Amino acid sequence: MRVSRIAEGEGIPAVAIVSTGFLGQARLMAKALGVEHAAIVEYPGVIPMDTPEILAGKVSSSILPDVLTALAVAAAPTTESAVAPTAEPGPTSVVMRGSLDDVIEHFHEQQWTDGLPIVPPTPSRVDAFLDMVDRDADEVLGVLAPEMRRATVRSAAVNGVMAGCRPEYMPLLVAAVEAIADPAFRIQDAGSTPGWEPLVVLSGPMVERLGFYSKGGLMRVGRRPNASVGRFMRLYMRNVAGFRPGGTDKGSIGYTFNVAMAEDDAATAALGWQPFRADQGFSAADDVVTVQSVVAISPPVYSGGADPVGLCEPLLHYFAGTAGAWAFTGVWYGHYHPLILMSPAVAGAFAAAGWGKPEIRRHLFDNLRIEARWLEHYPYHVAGQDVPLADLVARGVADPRYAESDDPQRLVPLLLREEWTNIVVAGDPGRNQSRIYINNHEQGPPISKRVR
Amino acid sequence: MPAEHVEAGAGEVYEVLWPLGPSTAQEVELSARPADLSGRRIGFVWDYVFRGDEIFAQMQRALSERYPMATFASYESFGNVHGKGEEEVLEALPERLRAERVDAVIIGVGA
Repeated sequence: MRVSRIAEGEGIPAVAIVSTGFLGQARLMAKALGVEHAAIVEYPGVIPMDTPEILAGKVSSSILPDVLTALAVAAAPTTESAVAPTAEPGPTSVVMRGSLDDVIEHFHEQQWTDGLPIVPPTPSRVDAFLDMVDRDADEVLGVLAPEMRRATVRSAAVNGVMAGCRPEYMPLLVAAVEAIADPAFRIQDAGSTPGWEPLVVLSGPMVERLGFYSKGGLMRVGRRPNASVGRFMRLYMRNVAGFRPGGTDKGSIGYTFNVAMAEDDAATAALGWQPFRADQGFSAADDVVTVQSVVAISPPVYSGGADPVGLCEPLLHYFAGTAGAWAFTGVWYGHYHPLILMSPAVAGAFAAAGWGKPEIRRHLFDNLRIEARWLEHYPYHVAGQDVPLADLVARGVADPRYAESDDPQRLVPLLLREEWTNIVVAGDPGRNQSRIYINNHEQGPPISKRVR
Repeated sequence: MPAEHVEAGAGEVYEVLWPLGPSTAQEVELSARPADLSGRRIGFVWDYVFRGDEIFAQMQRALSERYPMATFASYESFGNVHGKGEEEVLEALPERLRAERVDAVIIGVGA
């Protein structure tokens, strides 16, 4: 709908073709972009499922006539939308008074919660959060698509209260919002059909100071710091960005929110490895919040023995399996940022063999491969068309490594850049397990912000 | 935790704040539509997914038959509006639309 807005803004009539399942999302996005009555024509059904003949029939029988109508007559406002919109509440307005049950029900009705009860965001609770940062409550941290709302320090506090955070988490909540408001994060794509979730990674002295948990079972719901911060991130994307299931959140199946991942600083230091925040270019003295997308998580990966190449073998196997053919999107969009959560036991075995994170990254980069046919043909299943790697190379989208042969069974690189594989040490020090978190290509690359 | 709730009957009453943020949306008026597309130049803008090339090719054939004087600007004239380089393509789009002198734009494909 951004193109509709650009064209109409240039005085050029525009019509957008949108498949049935996405009409509601398109209408909501059009409204948020200021082109509520933009012309939208329906492609009936699910495009990748249609044969060429069926597609042609739909174009001639319904899409073309509708396009002609839309270009001749601007869509008239419906009776409902022609009514002047109700003014929205102000940032300090009390939106309701009621009992705890009333508040919870109201927030459910307004779709302001994630399906779980919330802590009522009373002015005094919100003020307690705001008191923890030296920031103006109305400071704008960014504008979040698709609803194009201003992300403010105050709204971070309100949603932090609702999620069950403690006031002292407030500085890192603001940093998390700054991360998703960074244009490089591409928050506008968080409603895409893969249904990815944000993952908050915490690195720094704050982990211990605020009681975040980094040992066995750290990624389970069950501990307030990790769980409430993870819940906050999803609530914020729902309320301020506007991603709600059935509307602009088009995750076809999706999964639940991630609790915040806390790095085990002491274990990392004991290995002689630099912490994750230093990998991201910050000082070891900094507290750093990183947010990235997660579209898939590997099964538990056990690595045994003392040989670093052998330790990598299960990682390579599960990495390729978890990434799968969806890795074509990385090549297509030019971004791919996996994260390995590695227990101190596995990391310790690498360190004992003289390998650090750079050596692990290099080995994975050099050895992770996938058959070219999967990258080329899986787009047919996703979007109805093959995407030859040679075409991507010719268009400058993919690098020449992907077109060194035309054998569909040739093995091509799965990883785009060595330095884009992140490694965080945490988890049960008494067990030799890792998990691999796959991000969704250019949507939600890791964005790190220093906590102020 | 101090709160401003007050006792009301058997339960506490809470006053609560709004969890959303101020909207920045600014309405754009839709453009005047041409009486018909005869002699007009029609641009196709594509996000390079969901078979827009098939859809546009068929539409162009049908439109050419119906409006023999109509001309067309291919999606290749505008670039891929989704994915790698998207922001640059969108930033340049107003200029590209003006350069192509299009009278109407057909955009695809949302799915």
